[in-house]
Amino acid sequence: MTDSADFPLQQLVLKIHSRCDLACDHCYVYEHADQTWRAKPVVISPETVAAVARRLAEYAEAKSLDSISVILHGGEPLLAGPARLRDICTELKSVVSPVTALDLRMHTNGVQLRRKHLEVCREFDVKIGISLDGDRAANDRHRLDRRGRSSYDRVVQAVELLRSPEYRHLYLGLLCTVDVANDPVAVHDALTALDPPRIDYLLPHSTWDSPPPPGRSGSPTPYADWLLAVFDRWQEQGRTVPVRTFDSVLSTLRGGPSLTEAMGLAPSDLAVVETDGSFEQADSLKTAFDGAPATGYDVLRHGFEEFAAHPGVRARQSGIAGVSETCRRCPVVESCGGGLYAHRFSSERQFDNPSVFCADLKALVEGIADRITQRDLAPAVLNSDELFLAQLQLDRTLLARTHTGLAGDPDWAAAWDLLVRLDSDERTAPGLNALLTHPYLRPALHRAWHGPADLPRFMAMAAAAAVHAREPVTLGWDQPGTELHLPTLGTLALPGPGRVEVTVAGAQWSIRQHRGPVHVPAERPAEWRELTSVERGTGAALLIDDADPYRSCYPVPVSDPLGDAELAGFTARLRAAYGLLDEQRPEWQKDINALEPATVTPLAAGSGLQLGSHRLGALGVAVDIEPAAFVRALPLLGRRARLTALREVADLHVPGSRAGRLLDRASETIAEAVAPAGADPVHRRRSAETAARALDELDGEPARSHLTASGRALLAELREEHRALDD
Amino acid sequence: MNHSVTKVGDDTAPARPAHERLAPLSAINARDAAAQRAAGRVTDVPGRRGKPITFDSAL
Repeated sequence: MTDSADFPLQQLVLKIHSRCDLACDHCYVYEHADQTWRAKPVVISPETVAAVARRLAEYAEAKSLDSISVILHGGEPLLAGPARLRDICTELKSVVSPVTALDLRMHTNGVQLRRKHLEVCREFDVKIGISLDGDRAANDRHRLDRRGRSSYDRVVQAVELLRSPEYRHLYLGLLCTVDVANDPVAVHDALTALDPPRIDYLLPHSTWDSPPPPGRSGSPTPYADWLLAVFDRWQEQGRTVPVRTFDSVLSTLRGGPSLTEAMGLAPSDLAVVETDGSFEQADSLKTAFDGAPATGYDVLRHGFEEFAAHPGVRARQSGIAGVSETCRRCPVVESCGGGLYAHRFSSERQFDNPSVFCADLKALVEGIADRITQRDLAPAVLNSDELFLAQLQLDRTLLARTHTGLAGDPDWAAAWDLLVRLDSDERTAPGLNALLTHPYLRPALHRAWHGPADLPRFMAMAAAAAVHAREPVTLGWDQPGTELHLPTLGTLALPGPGRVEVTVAGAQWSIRQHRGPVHVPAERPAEWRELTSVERGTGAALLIDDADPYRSCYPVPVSDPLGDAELAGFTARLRAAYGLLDEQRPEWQKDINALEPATVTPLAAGSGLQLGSHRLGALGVAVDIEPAAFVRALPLLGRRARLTALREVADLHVPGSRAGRLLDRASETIAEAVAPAGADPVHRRRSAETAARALDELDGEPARSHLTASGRALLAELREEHRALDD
Repeated sequence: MNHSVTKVGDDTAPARPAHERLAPLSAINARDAAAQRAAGRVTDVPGRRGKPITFDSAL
């Protein structure tokens, strides 16, 4: 069992009002098994809020939390009224904010939302999510008030108010409960028409004792069918609005974290406090049985630490160990995670079941995996030049998307004009492409896909491109911090943040900070530190990048910028390492798995060789690397780097399938089996045997059907290598 | 014995320069289906997980 200290609570759902002004017939609070709301205070008292705030601050301090989210919930939180809302926010902010960053949110039906509420929310930066089940017809299937009247117009009015420029920054998004009787595309189109920052679709709370409505299609997976229709529409629209469930499945299929408690194996990290101050487990447990979420703890007598140690809480933090045997054996468990905990309940077995939506969840994950898999043969798998080209295409696509996000910024407009100009000229295009393949640009491009782009970073990139191309231009931008780093070139120390200008006039170029001196790097001013390159003996130059701010993408610490003596020592080690490599493996560069980085970043002593989350082309090398260790480690890292790079530009297998793990295993064990002479022969033989088993499994079903044409080509390559082990 | 897989393509005719095989930067539509699918292999994983989004009944 995991220690509760491993997964600190980071979210609090605070019920500030226990009643609601709607009577949605699918509501898990009022219409399902748990009826404890009847005995709860209507509104949370100031004393209870004070206790919550105090306990929360104590917990955040004890756990050294960087931030904590408090989601004001209910019932309907707006029924507390703007004055009480302000009091609650004031109490939380005054007590919790001094200890940790407080992220305030609210989820509402929107019916009561007015400016008076939004003014309070604006004052305390409370972000707001709204429930809406689609267009009028879909929404009114369930979401009526107590007099049976539609809530649609009132809710849409609230959304329009929230969308207005003065409150837009508070708009979190829309939550929709799925009803398979509704047209999925019509629902999705209706929601996206309201321009939400994000959407999510929730399966109607159900258990094995109270299964979900089956719909009329007769399909065994009506909910998966419905969601996949939305997924197809979402893809068709260019995924313009994030959909949490889809993003979670896509993330887990690619080996990343899940993003919702409804799917995946991420540990639950939330607490619920009711209007009477009682701690409760996951809110959705109200669908299971009366009293299901109860813990027996309350904020007057207990702290969050005690709550976190409750067996019910820890049961939802156990990852794969916390799901049923059926789920543990399921191929989609990493993405599905057994579904929402509450949906597993049966009177017979409690929560030791797969989800009542099991068939749907499996079909959803497999359906998404199938839709995103490109099954045809990618040239990149056959040829390292094609892999290079495909990686470059990816960088350019990411840059084009970044441009979309930065469009309208006048500084960026000048930079983009420059980049387009360089790209259209065959003299300067190769140099631009060389810069775009700088491995530490990829982390910035990746970050820009999901959120605001780091404009100074991309301006510096454009300036560097101009310098390399000797293209006359002046680019200006606001540079934060006290350093300006131009990728592949070097770093200028600045007296402080401010406006900078880079001017390129042919071979000469200069940097000037607003009203400050002009620095000409060619004259080697004291403020300028140029990056060093070292020749590798074959004429190829290796950039020693110990300064790029985005180089901290390795699993170990990078070293600080090296002093002159340290740099000389490091470059000597690198030369010796490559010299030894050339001596011991003269044909190493002809190997399709050969790692030939253009950029090396020094890492902390003792770190050996490492790959990071940069793109292909970089290698992390410990400052104290021994040449023999370098030569020993490089082949395996080369394989890993190539496989990672291939997966970035081609699908080798259906994402999430076992075929992927088998390919990794075969590749790595073959690398161990071909290890240089001197390696343990017993270990090499066992590695060869392990590789053989992985390859055999890949040749059989179901693995083979999960391989794409690219995957089968890689498999053939591995087979050939393995066969040669016997030579 | 050291074994290496020979790189394919070393003996082929020289490929066209990269910049001749790439769509111009200005012409790339990063939101079309092909671009989304291509970029998704990298961008579907949100990277270092920021704020956890685990509560089902709120965003």
